[in-house]
Amino acid sequence: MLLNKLENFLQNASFLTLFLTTVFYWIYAAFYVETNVKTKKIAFDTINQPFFLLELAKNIILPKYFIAISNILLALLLLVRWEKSGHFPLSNLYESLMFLSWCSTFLFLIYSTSFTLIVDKILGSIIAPSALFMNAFASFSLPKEMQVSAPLVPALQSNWLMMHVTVMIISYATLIMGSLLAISFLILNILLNRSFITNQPNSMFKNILLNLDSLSYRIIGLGFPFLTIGILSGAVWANEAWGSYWSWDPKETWALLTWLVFAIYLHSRLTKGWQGKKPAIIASLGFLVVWFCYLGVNLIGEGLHSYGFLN
Amino acid sequence: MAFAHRGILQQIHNQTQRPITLDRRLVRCLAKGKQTGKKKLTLTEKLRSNNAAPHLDMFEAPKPQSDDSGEPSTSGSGLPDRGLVAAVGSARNSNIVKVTWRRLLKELSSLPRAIAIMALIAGLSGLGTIIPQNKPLEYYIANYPAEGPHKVLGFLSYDVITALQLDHIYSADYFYLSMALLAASLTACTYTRQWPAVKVAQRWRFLTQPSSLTRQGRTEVLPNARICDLGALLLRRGYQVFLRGDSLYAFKGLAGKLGPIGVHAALLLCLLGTSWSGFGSLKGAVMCPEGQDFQVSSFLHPGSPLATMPEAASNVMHVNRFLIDYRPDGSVAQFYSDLSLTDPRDGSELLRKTISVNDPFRYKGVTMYQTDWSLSAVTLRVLGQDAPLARAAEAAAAAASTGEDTPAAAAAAAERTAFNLPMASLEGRPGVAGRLWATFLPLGKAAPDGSAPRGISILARDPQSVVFYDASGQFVGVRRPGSGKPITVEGLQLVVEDVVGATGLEIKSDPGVPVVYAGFGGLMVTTLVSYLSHSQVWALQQGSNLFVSGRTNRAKLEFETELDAILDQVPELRPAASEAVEGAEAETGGGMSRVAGTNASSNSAAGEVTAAASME
Repeated sequence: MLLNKLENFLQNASFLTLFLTTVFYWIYAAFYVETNVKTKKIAFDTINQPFFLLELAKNIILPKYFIAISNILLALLLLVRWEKSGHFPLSNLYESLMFLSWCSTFLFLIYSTSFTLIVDKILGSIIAPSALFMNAFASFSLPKEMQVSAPLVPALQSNWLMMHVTVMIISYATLIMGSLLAISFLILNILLNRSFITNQPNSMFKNILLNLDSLSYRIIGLGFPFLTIGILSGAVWANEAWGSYWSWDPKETWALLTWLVFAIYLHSRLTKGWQGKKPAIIASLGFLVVWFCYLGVNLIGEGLHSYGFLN
Repeated sequence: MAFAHRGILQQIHNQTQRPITLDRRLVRCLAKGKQTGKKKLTLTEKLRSNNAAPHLDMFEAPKPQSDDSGEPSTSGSGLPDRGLVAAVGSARNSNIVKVTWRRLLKELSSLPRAIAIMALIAGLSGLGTIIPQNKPLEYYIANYPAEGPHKVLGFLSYDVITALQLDHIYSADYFYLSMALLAASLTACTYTRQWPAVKVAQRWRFLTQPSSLTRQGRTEVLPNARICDLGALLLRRGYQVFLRGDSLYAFKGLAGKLGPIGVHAALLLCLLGTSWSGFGSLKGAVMCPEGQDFQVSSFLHPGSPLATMPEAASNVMHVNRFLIDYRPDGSVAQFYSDLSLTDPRDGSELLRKTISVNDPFRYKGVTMYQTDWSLSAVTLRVLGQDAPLARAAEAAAAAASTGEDTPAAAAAAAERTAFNLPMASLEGRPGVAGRLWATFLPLGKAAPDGSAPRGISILARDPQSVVFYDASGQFVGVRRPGSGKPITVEGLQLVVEDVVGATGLEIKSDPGVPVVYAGFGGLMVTTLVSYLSHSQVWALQQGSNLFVSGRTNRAKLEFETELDAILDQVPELRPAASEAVEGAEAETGGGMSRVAGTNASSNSAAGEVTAAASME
């Protein structure tokens, strides 16, 4: 009973913190005048100043703390569910969405040390709402029956469950984050070309674009090995369970498709003349492919991974 | 203390002045490169000659590089055109086969072409998820009609689908061809591009002119700095540092250059393994009731004429028991099959194992997986004096018991009166939802006019409960097997002793699996290793000025930040002091304290250079 109450509290608290984070980041993105100071230094400088919290807020530290808090809350939620059900908390759509949300915030925190303030603002305005969306969809849109953690069917009773599903969700989170960066790169590129924003110096914008480009490359470059490991561990598990490591199941096929699309993205960067815009378009396509691979295939209704809603 | 430090510095100084075997080889190599005249260019040299770096001005903030200079040229073709002309020119001396071979390699290793092949495979795979695969022809006739308002997309009818092999895309000719092309492209790319690039990257390139430094990448100049300070700092950051006279070369992350080769090799291994599986594997499925045997080889069907039946398949598998473990809420916890593999020649048991889902039966290349189950028969017993079987049992009991325990004899007699009724599956019949098995106990002879005989209908969905219907089809009751509780149907008292299950096993013999697993493992490791960035730093000491240049292939921004941090840390000496090492006692005391703080690394610096010198 206590665990149920705790789980409820954590669910609501994580939603609330993510909502506040989103609001904060959007306010800062819209109104705050950016500087180029690294955030690490600011954290140390503000502690000694009066109006410590105000300084924190002005220097965009506050939303980052909120992301950290929501990360911890989501982790606790998953741990509570693990305790309640007795098996690893990644067995249905609700849990995997929560885990995806956790991974997004976690990755943001890891990579945030290498952001400049501007990129931090842009990224925060994108990552916070997407984590919020995943959280809200899982908590409020999914019917209650789907949120309950049922005991595992025989096919899922394996240690491979932990490795395969975890790595796949981590890879989805990384690739989604990287593709979102690429999409924001494209949007900023269009805005820059159409000179909608004229009161900022051009070189600073080019700097942002360079940052976004490089970061999206780096993050997708990290997500790609994870995706590889996820797909291959799934294949090995399938061989141990059913005797066939590849059966062209829709989910498997779309995971392979995602892998191919991002392999094309990584290779296209080596081609002369394909810097910046064209790889970003491929990464944007990859964004759609990842979402279809994660959710769309399960809804189709066929194959080993289906939930079978839209038959 | 200053003298001790001076000694170390002197040591470093001496090390760098000592002739190194590398020197001579390098000199010879460089000298060779300067030869003019008719010399057939190797691929490595052609690639190196094409390493045109962008011209960056010194002292400027980093600009986005318009190309990945230093990487082998990756524009539309594999070999640079100059190189090809040179190759063709010199090929007049060699035969036409070599020219065609080089041409073929060039076409295959072209990166845009490889990207196109990947996109093609991706598109075909995606198509296979939209059009249902491997269904019978009637399915396509029904869902993709040739005429009528339901015609899909206006042209996609069943004859188009079957003609284009869209009903089995993943085993179609063009799919296999695309895979083969991908494999060829991978091999060609590794051979023409990646391997020479690794060889180039492995060379220690000492640069002796500031202009060569600017050609490598972003260059900074530090006035009043010393090259060995930079070397020590780089060492602390994990670089491998080589000093030769006034020139320094440092790199780290060479594995990041080897990684992509490993990825291609692992992919080729995977493709090889899957082809071997396709040709050499045997598989099949069997549904075997409890207590029955089957010979393994009769259920192994070859994937191609090249597949050989493994020796272990000549054995006989006996199903001792099949059990479904249910949870209190009725859901299935696990399926268990107790299996024994016996040698038919002498009946000896080779292996006995209870398998479950995710825990298969393995014996010498043959693996059996728990994949399915069904109900095979229901074991019933008829109670009552007037039952013919009961009378026979009584007689048998009377004849047999001459002092035995009556309950045991009665139980044995009772067992002999139990009989099996085989069950049939009604799954898929109209009005039947889910899995259902049924059997029929007739109560009299069949009528001469051929109408259906009267009898008791017995149904079951799972081994947990059995449902009885009387001769008019009315529901009578439910019994749990093994409870011993009788049920009266049509005047008969029946007890359900047991429900005999059948275990569905998938049998497989796949010789390609070890190769595929090796490919998988390699792929997992090498994709991670490829994430490392290969960074190189060059430095040149000219007088009191230190020119530093650096380049990386992946994490460009982080490299910039790291290089900035390193350069910030290089101590600046007083102008007079940097002229001669010995003269700057006081300052070097200050500067040296930094080096002293990293005494271990300075020693290791000396050690590194010596190690580097003695290498190769």
